[in-house]
Amino acid sequence: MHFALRLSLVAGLLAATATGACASLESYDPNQEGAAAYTLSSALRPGAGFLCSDLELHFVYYGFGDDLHAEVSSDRQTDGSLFVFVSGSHTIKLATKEEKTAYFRCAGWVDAAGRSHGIELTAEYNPTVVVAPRVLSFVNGTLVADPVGGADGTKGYWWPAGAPAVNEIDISSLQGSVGLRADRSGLVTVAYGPGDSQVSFRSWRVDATPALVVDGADVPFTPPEGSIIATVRFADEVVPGVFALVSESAGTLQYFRTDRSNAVSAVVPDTGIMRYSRNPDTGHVQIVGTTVHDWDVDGTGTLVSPPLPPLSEGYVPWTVSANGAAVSELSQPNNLAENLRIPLSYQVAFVENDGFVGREAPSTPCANRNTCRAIGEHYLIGALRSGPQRYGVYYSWPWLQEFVRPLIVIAPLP
Amino acid sequence: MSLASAAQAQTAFHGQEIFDLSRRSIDLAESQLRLHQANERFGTMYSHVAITSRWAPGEFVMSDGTRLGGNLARNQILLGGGGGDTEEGLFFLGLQLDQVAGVGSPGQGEDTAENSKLFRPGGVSQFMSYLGGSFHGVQASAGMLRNEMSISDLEVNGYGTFGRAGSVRPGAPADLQTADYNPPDSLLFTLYDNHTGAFLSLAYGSQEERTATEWMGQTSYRFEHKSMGIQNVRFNLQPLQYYLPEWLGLPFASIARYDRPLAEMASQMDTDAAKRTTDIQIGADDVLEAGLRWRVLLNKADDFRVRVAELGYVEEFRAKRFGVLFGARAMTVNRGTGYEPSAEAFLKGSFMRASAEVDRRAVPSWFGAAVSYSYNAPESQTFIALPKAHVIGLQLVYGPTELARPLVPLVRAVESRKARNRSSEDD
Repeated sequence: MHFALRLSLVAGLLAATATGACASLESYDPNQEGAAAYTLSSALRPGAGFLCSDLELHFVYYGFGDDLHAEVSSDRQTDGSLFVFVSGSHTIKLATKEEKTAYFRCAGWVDAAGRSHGIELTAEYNPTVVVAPRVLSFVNGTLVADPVGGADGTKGYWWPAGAPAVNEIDISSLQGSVGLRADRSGLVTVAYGPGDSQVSFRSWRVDATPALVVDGADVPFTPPEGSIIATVRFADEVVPGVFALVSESAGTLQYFRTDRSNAVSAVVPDTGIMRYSRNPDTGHVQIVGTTVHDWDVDGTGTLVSPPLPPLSEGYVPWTVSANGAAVSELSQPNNLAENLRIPLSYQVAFVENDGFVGREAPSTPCANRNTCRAIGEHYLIGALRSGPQRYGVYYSWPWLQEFVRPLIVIAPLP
Repeated sequence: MSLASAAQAQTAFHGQEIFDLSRRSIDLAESQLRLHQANERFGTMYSHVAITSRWAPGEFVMSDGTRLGGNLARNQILLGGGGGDTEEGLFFLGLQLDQVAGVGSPGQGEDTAENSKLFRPGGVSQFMSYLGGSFHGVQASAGMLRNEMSISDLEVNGYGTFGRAGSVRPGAPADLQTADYNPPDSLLFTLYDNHTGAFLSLAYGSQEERTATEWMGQTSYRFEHKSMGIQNVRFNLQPLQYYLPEWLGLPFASIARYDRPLAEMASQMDTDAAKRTTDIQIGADDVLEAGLRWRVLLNKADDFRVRVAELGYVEEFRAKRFGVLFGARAMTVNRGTGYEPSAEAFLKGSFMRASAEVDRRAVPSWFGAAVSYSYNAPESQTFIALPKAHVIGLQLVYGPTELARPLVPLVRAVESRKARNRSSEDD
């Protein structure tokens, strides 16, 4: 019998072969904020895209919750593209039951071909409130005309059309109501004076600085005899040289035009009014409160307050946003975490013609809902409309944490 | 010039795909079969050290879509020896390592805070130490098999992309919570009958089940030990003798039943258990006694559609104690998107011993070295079946080259076996 045990341990070989290098890996930026975006991008339904870069929300482990609030503001630009600004908050609960709220801002635009682009927000401060700013698109860019930044709360955003980032712009000179000029070269404000019972319309534009500069002489306006301009809620330029405003007093609205000698009046049965604006498609004044009121100020003068559509069983009551979109959600509890829910479907309603029209909306921006669910949670935080096209804005919160951040996704709605 | 720049079209290394292929490829039970077959061929276990390394240049697709040039390597190491012969009594022992790893230099230096942020290519592996013996031509072995086979070992995150794993926050689907799963270690028992070529392997170890635990209003899932039992069983039959007409060569058939990686199920919320699938393979080596080989592989999950059809040829030249083996094969491969071409070739040189230590058994080599090249090979024994990959292989063996898995699995061992059989008849 042969016996030749010739086992020799060459332990070093084990390590030597395992670590040899042949080609160098290039340097890699460990900032993996793009992890969720890269994974999600291939799962999105056609036309969907990211509205901004990842949100810098640093949640601690075992902190979770689905308490989300957001306002989506937008305006269609002259070239057909759509500027979108999102302000929101996300409240989580820690294991100690303590709550922590993180605020976020996000801006982006959807080009005429339907592709979304993120815009970098350069503000050097942390937001502490959810705002629904007025967004006004000019021929050369878009102005976020309410204070959204700055230590003194006087900074808005100016976005030159197509630029990758927005600039902060001092808007402290804008007081009261603002609206668009007829040629969309700038904006219009209105101030009391110079005479008693008079108001003056002032035109502005944004120069290359960028800064707001007065553009032309003020246009004084004296209301018709017997009328009083109380609180100005809205003002704009209807056609070149013709200005209009909406005055409100104790729930009674009056619409004045500088080329007319009489005012149009209406009573709005709503005590929770958030926004006055002009519908660019119809020319009507839209008043958003607990519902959306449509006032045909330059036509019949009638104010229509259509009721919100009836909800299907299981949906929560409508939430009306300042931009006029109503959203309702159908969800179920997340059995794996008591502070989370799983949206199953949404209904989104807009005023179309004389009434609200509600439609089903997907619960995620993905082509396949389960794919999105495997990547993270998705909540529809707002909706908007640009002409016939409707969009949903989703908050996408990845399951992987520490290195990945929430995302804002905009997707076409049926 | 690096391997990475040598290839015109860079193969993309997607984390989930590499992980899935690695889990299907690394299989030390199959290596044990090769050891048994070599023991039968030589009548003993010669001392051996074998290093097999195959490399594919390509690009690691990182979690944010960034692509980093590098290499993917499959490293296999054998170390062992024994005493005695398979008929009268043989004792043997050894170690085996099988690994798939990303290879590169950044981030692999000192473990500083700055370096810790860099991408460090990881690797998945199996390691086994074993003891065995043989008597009257029946071999048996027992080994401890250790798995480093979790997706995070490969530095792949829960989304299936290369990069830091991160944790999964509460409320995530159960499949995602348990995606980073390392199969339990095993005791691997094998039995091989020299006379029939029948091989049976049995892995025994922890039976794990996915369980849920609740804490602070949230449910967490993980795999937990439930009992001890048989994890998997494999049977293989390849007689190394001519029971059939010699022109049929050495037929082989195998059935492999394996679980699909759990991570593959991550997007399927309602699936609680891993699916299992079965490969069926038939073929023959050394057909017509001319070094020809054919093979067909069918998969149950594909309704037994042909996934691989292969034709190969191998030729051996001898000059005194020097031997040269050349082989090549062409395949058509269907990975679900239609049939694609594949080709492999290798060249092996060896220096033979003067004589065998066991009478009337084959004479082994002292040393052997081999190189290989493969394109788009569905090969899982010495690399992974990575589509469109250009793979370069190198093998260095001290001891019988038959102990190590060949760079390209083509054999031409019949002539020496025939000679041995004739010699046996003469006696």
